[in-house]
Amino acid sequence: MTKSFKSIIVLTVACLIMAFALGAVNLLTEDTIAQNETERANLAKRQVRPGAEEFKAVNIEKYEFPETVEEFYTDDIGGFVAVLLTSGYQSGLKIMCGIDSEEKVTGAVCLASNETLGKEKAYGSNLLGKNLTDIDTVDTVGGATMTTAAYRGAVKDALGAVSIYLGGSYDARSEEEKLLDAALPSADGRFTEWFVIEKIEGVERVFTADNGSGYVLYSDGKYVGADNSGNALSDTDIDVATAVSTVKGASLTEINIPEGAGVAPSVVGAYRSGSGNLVLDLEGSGYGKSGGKHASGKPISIKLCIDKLGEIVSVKTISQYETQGIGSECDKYSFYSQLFGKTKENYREIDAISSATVTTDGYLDAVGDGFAAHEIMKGESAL
Amino acid sequence: MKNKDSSLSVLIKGIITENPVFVLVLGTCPTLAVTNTVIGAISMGLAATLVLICSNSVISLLRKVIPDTVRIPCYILIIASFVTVVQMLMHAYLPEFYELLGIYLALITVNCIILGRAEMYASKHSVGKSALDGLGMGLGFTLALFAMSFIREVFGSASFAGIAIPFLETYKIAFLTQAPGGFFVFGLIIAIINAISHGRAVKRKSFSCEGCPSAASCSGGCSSVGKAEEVAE
Repeated sequence: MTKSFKSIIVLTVACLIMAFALGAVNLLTEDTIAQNETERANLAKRQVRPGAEEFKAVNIEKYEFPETVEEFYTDDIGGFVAVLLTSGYQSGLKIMCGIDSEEKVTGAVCLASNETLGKEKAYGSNLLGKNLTDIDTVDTVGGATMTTAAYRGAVKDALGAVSIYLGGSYDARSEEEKLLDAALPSADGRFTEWFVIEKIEGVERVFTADNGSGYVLYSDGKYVGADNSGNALSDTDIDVATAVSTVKGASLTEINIPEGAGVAPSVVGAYRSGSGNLVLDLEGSGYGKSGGKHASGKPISIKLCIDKLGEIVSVKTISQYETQGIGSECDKYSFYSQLFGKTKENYREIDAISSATVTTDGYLDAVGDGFAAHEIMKGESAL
Repeated sequence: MKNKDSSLSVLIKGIITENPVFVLVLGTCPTLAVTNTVIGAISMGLAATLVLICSNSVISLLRKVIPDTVRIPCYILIIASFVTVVQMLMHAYLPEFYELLGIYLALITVNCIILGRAEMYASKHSVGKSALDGLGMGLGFTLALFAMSFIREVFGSASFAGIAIPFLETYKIAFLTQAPGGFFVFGLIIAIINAISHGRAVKRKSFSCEGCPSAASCSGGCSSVGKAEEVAE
């Protein structure tokens, strides 16, 4: 009993003495440690705000910042730093962004990510000097579209946070997203563009709501919403009921690509729609595939729909690895929509992408292969 | 038996004849983890030396006060406290080295060398001799880490203490900077020491029970193995 009692006393006294000693050392060092940590954090911020020395945290609870904003600071030369958390292909994409007093990006670095390819590490330099009006013009990187789109979106949110902090407002949506939301509010902002495989009179593009609440039809610059029953939600000349029923009833059946019949190797997939239109998956050889040692080695993936009369119903760029800012324009609607309604006689009569002859030629060569395949496969039926 | 316990011999044995890393084979975790750079190795060695000196001194000072039944918890309490003090001081005044050592700084608490010397030496000798033993062991540990890191950084990264060695750049063996390379260098140095000493380097089995922290609760299984090894030799 005495032995146990002595053990308890010795241990207790030892704990108390060590606790006091640690407390004393902590008192001595805590201010210095806090200063070091602040300096370390400031070093990272100075990377994105060259010229700034001190930073002051802003209470983000007081403002309606976008959800991606985790931390927000003002600096001593009238600029701002935001730390954002978003998700690309994986979650956990953390970005620090510096913005000057003119609401332009002065720097953006990736602090942490779980992305596979690592292309986000260098993407920040593409956003330097951009503001809210022109940041959407920065291309995503081929092969890492989700990652770099998320990165760009997060930096846009940082710009938006600055606008809100300065008393302005911010709507993260692009112009098209705003028009889609206005046309079909019940979709909660989530739409997927439907690849048109059946001709719909007067309709150029169709968007389906991800939550199944309806559709948005695009025609002549206007977005018209429709519910699942085919009722138009605003005044329009489009036969909305027929359009919706066409979309709902559309289907694709995979067909055989005949070997030895002369179908170009760029045709990698073939399907037949319910009305007999031919839908092809093509791989175009642009700069990415053939442009020498700096090229990615990867093709431009294109989806092409040709009707029975040999006219293009629709075409869409699925993926591309062309030079950013130049050949990458081939994935813009403004480029490939020029091919709608073209035939094999006139499909090359479109405006080429400036300074991207190889990309444009590769794209059009693939479309030409599609027309040739259409001739060969007229009689092909389902697999 | 001649008394070899002079202050100088206490100091030197930790550096050479009873080197904690290459002879006693203790503290292997930090040895492999921080020796891919010379700076990291020396930082770890000096931090561990400071903890060794302080903990050995305090444990020796309190050796007649601490009851046998609670000696291990007391030793760990003392060692952990000193490690925390070193951590806080490095975080405040040497933040670069604090960042460099990372988690391995806190892991000095569970370094076998520290608890081993507390149990084997500090609890049985005077404060002065215990402090010297801590210093000797600490310097031996630092020397061992330096030797490992020298090989790994010079031949693995073509640099020394962060300074590039251009003519080695083409010949560097990147494998040496990774974990398997660390084990390889470790084994190589032990083999060289055994070869030089003709196998006379002190074997760990001599300390199998006497220095084992679990001796009080053990049925003596380790000591029978040790005796079997001695008989075999």
